[in-house]
Amino acid sequence: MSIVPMKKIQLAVHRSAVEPVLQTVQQFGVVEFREQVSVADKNNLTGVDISFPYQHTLPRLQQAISFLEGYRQKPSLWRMLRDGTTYDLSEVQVAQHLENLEVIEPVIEDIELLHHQLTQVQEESRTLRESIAQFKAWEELPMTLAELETARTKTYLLISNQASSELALNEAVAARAEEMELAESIHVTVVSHNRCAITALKSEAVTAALEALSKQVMAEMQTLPAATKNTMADAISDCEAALQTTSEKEATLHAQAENAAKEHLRDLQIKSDVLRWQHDRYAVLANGLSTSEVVVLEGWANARLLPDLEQALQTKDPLSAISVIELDENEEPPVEIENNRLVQPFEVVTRLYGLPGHKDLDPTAFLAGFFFLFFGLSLTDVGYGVFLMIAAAFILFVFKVSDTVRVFGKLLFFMGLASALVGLLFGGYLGIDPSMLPEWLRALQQFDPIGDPLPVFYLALALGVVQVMFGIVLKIVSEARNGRLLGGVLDQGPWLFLFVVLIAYGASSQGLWATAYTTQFLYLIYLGLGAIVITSGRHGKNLFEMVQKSLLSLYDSIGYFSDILSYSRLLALGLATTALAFAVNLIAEIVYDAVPYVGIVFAGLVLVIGHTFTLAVNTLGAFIHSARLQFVEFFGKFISGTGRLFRPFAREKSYVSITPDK
Amino acid sequence: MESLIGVGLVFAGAAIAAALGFSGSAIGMGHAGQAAAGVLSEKPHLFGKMLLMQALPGSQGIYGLVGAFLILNFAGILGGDGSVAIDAGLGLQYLMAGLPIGIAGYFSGMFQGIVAASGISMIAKDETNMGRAIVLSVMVETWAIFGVLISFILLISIAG
Repeated sequence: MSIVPMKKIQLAVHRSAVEPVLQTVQQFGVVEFREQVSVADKNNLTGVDISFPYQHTLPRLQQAISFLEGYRQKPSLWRMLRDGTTYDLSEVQVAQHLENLEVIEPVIEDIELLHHQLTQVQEESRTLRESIAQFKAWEELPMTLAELETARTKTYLLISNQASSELALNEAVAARAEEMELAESIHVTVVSHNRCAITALKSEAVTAALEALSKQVMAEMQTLPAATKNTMADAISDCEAALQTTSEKEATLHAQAENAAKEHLRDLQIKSDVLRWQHDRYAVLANGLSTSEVVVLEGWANARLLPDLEQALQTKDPLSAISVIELDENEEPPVEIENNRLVQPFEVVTRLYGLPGHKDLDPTAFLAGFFFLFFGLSLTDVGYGVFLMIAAAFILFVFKVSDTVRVFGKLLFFMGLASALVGLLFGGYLGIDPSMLPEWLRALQQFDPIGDPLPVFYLALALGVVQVMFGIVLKIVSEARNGRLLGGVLDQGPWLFLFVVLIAYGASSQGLWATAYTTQFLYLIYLGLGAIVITSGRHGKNLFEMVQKSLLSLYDSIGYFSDILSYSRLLALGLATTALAFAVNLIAEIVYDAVPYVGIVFAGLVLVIGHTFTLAVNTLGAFIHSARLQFVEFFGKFISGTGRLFRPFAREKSYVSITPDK
Repeated sequence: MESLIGVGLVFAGAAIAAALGFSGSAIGMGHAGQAAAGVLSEKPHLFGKMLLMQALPGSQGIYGLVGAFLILNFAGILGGDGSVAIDAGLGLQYLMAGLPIGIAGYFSGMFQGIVAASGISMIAKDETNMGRAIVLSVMVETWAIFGVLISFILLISIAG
């Protein structure tokens, strides 16, 4: 339940044992390698000259997988969720795949050939379709294809870019030709409103003039594809026949690709993961230093799990040694957090913000209870809570999901539980009017957010006060852990004292508690303010700075004040849940009354779609705003910086799940 | 008639508080969302952080909702027995109580969105800037919170 301690280590491996040692380190996933090695004397050291043997194969393999994935049989959504998208493999099976990598080369070649053939055929089909479209566009031209270009004449095909122009293209061409004194040299044939053909004697001068003319009439000169036939109709038939042939070829190649996907995709995907892991091992070596016998790597290790790795290496690969080294000056280790099973799901919230600095406290355990409560207050409905718990149960017990999603499933369960419990107190049951509920359920309701929102408003602010005060306490604890207990107490203590006496004064002046001591509590408030001013000034270098810091410290009270008011959002989010659920029921009721006979069906649809939408929108809002209260109002009190995430050298699994060896 | 005008003014106060708050949030979230979408096209793994940054200028809408409910509740329209009598002068007071949260919510929502969009650019360059980006953006929200406070004090003053 804390920030994981990190050790800076050096790993020395005999060159002959590099591959198995790095395999073991990668399996354990407890070391993050750095990009340089800090060695005092680098004279006898060089870079590691070992290169990845499958450098060219890996991208080709990934390309082949990407091609085949388009042809695999898509499982149903239910099956995909239930069975997952990864293959279960034991370590022994992974090792077998690693030893058997050369078999993929001919398979990749076959798939590349298939891909190439398919691309070619598709290109041919596309060209033929374009040719057909072009021939069809000029089907009305009263000329044969041979007449388009004779020994003496050439026919230019013009298409207007201004289809909506009132003037027909041939008229525009004739008018411009007249102006350019070309009318005697050309013959214009009308095809349609925006198409025409211009026949002229072959001459460079005429060609240039016609190009200029086509630009002036906003038309484009088209060239028909080469054809062996004489008429447009014959050319079209020819192209259609060729298209039929290429389509058949394409279908055959698609079928071959489907077969290849069925036969090879699984094996290629597994080998892709295995190869990538090997690639990562070689990539790590690129950052190491080496003598003729030994390779040295440097990095950070999870101190709690490092002994297990050391033991495994000693047992399996005695030609390696791990030594712990000192940190450089001002060097900060990466950060990882670790919590017990109950609190671990709330790490999702902490990680969303980013990890704390390595000298900070891990806030997860401290935010867990608040987040649980705030989420419940933001989604105050038993029905929605139960639905979230059911969804979480499917994620946890029915679907095959990654570890990350599993943790989120646990958080979702807690979120549902919170909504259900708070919903009982707020009388939220899918927007049903509480007066229609059984007496024992109504007896559980303690708050009516719509009828009487003030108690909920005050409850939200009170929770804000509690969390802000808790944050101040944690700041003192954090400072104490870093050897600054006195500074922590002097900086935060007066504020904590002020909060306590303000609460006492409020309770006393409202006649709730210790009513005889109101004046004394008021004096204590002055004392608290005085203590804040005095202790804040101590960091000043001179008297002027001390006074300045003292006075400015009171400005922090505005920050605390706005922090606490910000918790009023809990009331608004809870209200929104109730109001939206109520509105869905109201619409369903109107539909039921308005539509004869099948009104119940439509009303049912409105209820299902409406409540699903409301649940989705409110769950997202409740999550984001409950998290925001942690990040802004809570973390700001005791977390000083954001740590760099510890990224251990481990196997990133895209297609494979590792299961225990039988 | 007098009572109808009074109730109408209360409704106007609640409507101003809610509608201006919602509009400010909508504009602010629009700014932030636009920036977030740009970042996500390059770095989809930042979705969680981007979603949170986009949600920050949504607070003003929530405060507007709180303000509207409080106005209706203090005026005795919500949760009352329906026999509330509000003269025009009293109604005007409730209308005035809706202005601080409404106007502050509108402008702070809009500008918080602009700051959040800049914060999103900071996070895109370095994920560890998340905390700083949040703090800068939330500074603008302070004024909407003060709007809630003044509206609340005005409501208490009217009730008193």
